[in-house]
Amino acid sequence: MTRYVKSILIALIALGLHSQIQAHGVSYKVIQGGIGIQAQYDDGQPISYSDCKIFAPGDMKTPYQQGLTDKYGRFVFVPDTSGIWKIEVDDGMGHGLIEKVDISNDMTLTKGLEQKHFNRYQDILMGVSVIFGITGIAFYFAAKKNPRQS
Amino acid sequence: MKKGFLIILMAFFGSSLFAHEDWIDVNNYYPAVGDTITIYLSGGHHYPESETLLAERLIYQPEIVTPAGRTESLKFTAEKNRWKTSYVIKKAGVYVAKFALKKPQMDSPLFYGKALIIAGNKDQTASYTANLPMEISPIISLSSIKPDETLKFHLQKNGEPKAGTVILMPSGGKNNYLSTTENQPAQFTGVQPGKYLVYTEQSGTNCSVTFAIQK
Repeated sequence: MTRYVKSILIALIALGLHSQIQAHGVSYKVIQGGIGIQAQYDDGQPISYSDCKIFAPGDMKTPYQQGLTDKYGRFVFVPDTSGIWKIEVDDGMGHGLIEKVDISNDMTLTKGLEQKHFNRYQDILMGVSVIFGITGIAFYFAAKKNPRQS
Repeated sequence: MKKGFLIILMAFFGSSLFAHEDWIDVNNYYPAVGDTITIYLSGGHHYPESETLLAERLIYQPEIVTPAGRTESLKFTAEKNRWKTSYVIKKAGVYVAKFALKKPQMDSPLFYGKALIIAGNKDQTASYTANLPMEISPIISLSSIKPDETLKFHLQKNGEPKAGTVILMPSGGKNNYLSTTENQPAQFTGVQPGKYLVYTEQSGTNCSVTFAIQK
C-alpha cells in the first residue's frame, strides 16, 4: 500500500513539475486601429522598409516603439497617453522626416494634422504663387509711386 | 523691376532643384602605382561635402574592379558623416570603385555609384563601364581632356544607352543639367580641372559617377 501511495505521489509530482516547466503559455488577441503614418518621397514613391521611431510625450530620447516601415511606407503604433508624439522616419540614404502628432484623450489623432506635407508640384505651385503675389505688390507700389500720365 | 522679378524666379527654381545625392569618392583619382588611396561612401547636397552617414544595412557590394578585371571586396569603417577605406594601387590602369544601396527586403538596389580611378596614367575609356544595371560613363578619355574642352557621357541601363537628364556638379560648384538621348551623349562644354560628380534618377533608381580632370 505504502509503495502504491509512493508511486502515485511521484507521478503527481512529476506531472506537477512538468506543467511548471511548461508554465510560460501565451495567448493573444487581435487589435484594431492605432495611429499610422504613410511616408513618401516628394515624387510619390513610398519610403519603404525604412527606420521609424516613435517617441511618446515627455520622453523624446528613448523610443516608445521602433521598427521599419512596410512596403508602402506605412508604420502604425498604439499610443497609451495623450499629448504630442514624435515620429521619425529615416531611409538611411539621407532622406527622412520628423513629424509631431497630437493625440487626444480618447487616443485618436487631433483633427487637422493628418497630412502636412506637400508634394514637389504643390511646392512649386505654392512658391510661384508667392512670387507672383510679392511681385504684384511690388508692381502696385511702383505704379502708385510713378503714376502714368494719360 | 523686370530684372528683379527674374532674379527672384531663378533663385526659387535654383533652390528647388537642389537634390540629395549619394556617391563614392576618392582622395586621389590619378594615383601612381604603389600609392594608397582613400575611398569614401558619401551623401549630401553639395559634392564633395558629405552630410549623411549611409545606413550600414543598405550598403551593398562595395567593391573595386582592377585593371585586370578582377573584383575585390572593400571593407569600410564609419566616420561621422561618411564611410572610409583605403586601398593600395598595385598596377597601372583604370580602377572602378563601386557600391550600391539596397534595402534587404527589396529585390534590386535603389542606387548604383562608381568612381573612376586612373592609375599610373594608363587610361582606357572602355574600362569606365562597370556592367551596372544603371550607370553613367564618360565616353572620352578623362586623362587626356584639356581645359575648356567638352566632356561627353552616356547614360546606360542594362548596357543600353538611355535618354534622360544627367546632372553634373563640379566639386564645390553648381548643378549643370545635361540631356542625353539613345544616340546623342550628354555634353558639358568648358570643363575645368577638378573633381566632378555626375548623377541621375530614373523610375526611382539613382546612379552616380565621380572622376577628376587633371590640370
